[in-house]
Amino acid sequence: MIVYEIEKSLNGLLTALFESYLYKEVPDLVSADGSYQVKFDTVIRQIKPDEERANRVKVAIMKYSNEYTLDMVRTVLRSCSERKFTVCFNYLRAIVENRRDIAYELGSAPTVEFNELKDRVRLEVHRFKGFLRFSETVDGYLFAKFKPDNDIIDLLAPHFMKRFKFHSFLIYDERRNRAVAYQNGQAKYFVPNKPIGVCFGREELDYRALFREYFDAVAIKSRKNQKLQRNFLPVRYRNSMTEFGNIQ
Amino acid sequence: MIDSERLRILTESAKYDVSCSSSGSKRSGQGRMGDCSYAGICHSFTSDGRCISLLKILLTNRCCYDCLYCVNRRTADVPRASATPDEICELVMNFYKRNYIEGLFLSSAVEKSPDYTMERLLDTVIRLRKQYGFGGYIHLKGVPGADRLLIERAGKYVDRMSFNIELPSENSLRLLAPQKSKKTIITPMRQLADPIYNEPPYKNRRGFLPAGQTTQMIVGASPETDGHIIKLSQALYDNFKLKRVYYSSYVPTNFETQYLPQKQAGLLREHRLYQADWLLRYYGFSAKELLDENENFEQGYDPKCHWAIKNIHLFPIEVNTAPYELLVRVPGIGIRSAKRIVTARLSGKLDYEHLSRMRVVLKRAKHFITCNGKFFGTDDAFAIKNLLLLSHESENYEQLTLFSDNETKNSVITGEL
Repeated sequence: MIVYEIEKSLNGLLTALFESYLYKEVPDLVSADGSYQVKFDTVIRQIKPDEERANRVKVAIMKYSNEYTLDMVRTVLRSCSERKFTVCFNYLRAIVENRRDIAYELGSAPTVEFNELKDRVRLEVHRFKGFLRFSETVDGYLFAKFKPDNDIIDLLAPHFMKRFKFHSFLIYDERRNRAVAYQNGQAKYFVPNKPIGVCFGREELDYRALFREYFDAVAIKSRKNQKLQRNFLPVRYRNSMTEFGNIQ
Repeated sequence: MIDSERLRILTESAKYDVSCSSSGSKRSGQGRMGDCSYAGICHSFTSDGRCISLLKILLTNRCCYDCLYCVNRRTADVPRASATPDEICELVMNFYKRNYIEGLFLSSAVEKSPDYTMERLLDTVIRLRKQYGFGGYIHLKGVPGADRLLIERAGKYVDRMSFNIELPSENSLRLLAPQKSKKTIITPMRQLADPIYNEPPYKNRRGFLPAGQTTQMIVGASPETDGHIIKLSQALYDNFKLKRVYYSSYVPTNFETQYLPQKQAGLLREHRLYQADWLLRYYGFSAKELLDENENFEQGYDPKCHWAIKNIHLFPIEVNTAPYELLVRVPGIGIRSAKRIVTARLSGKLDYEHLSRMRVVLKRAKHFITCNGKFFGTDDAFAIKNLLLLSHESENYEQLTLFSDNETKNSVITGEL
């Protein structure tokens, strides 16, 4: 078994692809965090990212495919799956190997795996467009914190920038300790170095209570179907949503 | 700020309107806050599994009509409440910026007269757009019998409008909703379907009803058959260019009368109607193909299976060559799978393994397709019917005995239902 240990970046991944041609071998696993089991016959190659090699691979990929492929790879790399580097590696290698874009070969294994991760990231972005909950602070800006499975804050923020054009807001990813602040048409992504504390506005708790009232009233009790509810709204998302759990 | 008691009353009276979608409109960059997402966004899901996308609320539930199936009818003994347009607007803005909702679904009981009610509704949406600068989604319920100018004016401000057809036939309407008539409901629907609204000056930057119009009918409160209902739906789609017809299975209200059934209509029937509705809108089926006018859908399997078994002579089809229109008619293959197949087969022959890797559900489909000339299903129509019936039963446990039939034995051995 051959394992490539790479740096956690697109360049790291592309360099690995270059080296696999250099060594004339196909790794069984590409990993960036060492979370794999070492077996008796495991060969580990440490691969240092190399800008020049990465660029040569990029040129090759662009020759057979287009910028969209790299965009999608960037999306998949946001996934929380342990296999994401391997999946991207296999996908890109299949493009170079076949000398054509395989995005539409929906039956081939690398494409299937790749699309699956891509769809999962996109689904979560779509879900949080609805499930994210803001609170209004005393200064009148909006604050939301959430714990997404995938690293999606950069994909999610533009949606709210369009929506709350003239409002300031702050979204905080608790799991990865990353945040985005938006004010006067400009967004800034940053890593907060201390816990973010906010002071809620006067009406905040009232509106939360109203929404909980609404949430309860709008359900038709004689058609209760909690399994369906769970399918659409997984339980793990609920602790940061106003209508479930503690009102504070 | 509206108090929670009134919010509860006005929501509970509005919740039987099933329309919840916030899709179909691309409003963007209008107003100080909010835009629309073309695909629609669900913000939460209630304990009955339905989504919360819009704030569903009535302006008032004080009604001067007496429709027997309705919770808000004049003679019902329920708490009554009203809200002012400003209270509604404030609530929408505050819910919207906290990302609780995608927009407003505003309706009202008929207070005093249709025109008076429509004016109040119109006042609310204009205020919300102009004074509060709301750019999100608004679905406005029209009041049948209101003046056509009021309806036209509303169309300029809201994304979607709907007039409920309520019951699937004129007779039932006369019996159960004596103050409404087919004419007062159909007239505004026809008005909104007028092609004049697709041209300037109506078609401007803001657009006239960008998300079109919909309607809703109650199923199970009156004796009409499924065949009758989907024929009506088809006529509505063809003649009035509706985006959706919603079906709501009848839920008994706190009132007993000889004209209404005492039992809740089955949810399965509603489900089958929705399945048929999708077949009409996306799969190229016509109502006539699916069902005769005095027939009902089989409870055991879905309308597409029903059609496929009736037309078993058309199958099996070859997935590598069959046109898209025929692929979507295969039970188990939906729009998504059919599109995937059409895309994937451009770059090579597909076999059974490809299909399962592409997540095409083959449990039902395998009886109707061949992959590269190979057939994996059963070719006896009667056997297929039984298998389909079985595959729809979620709980089908049986202790295996010496006398179990082959079907069950196979299912035990292979684990297949």
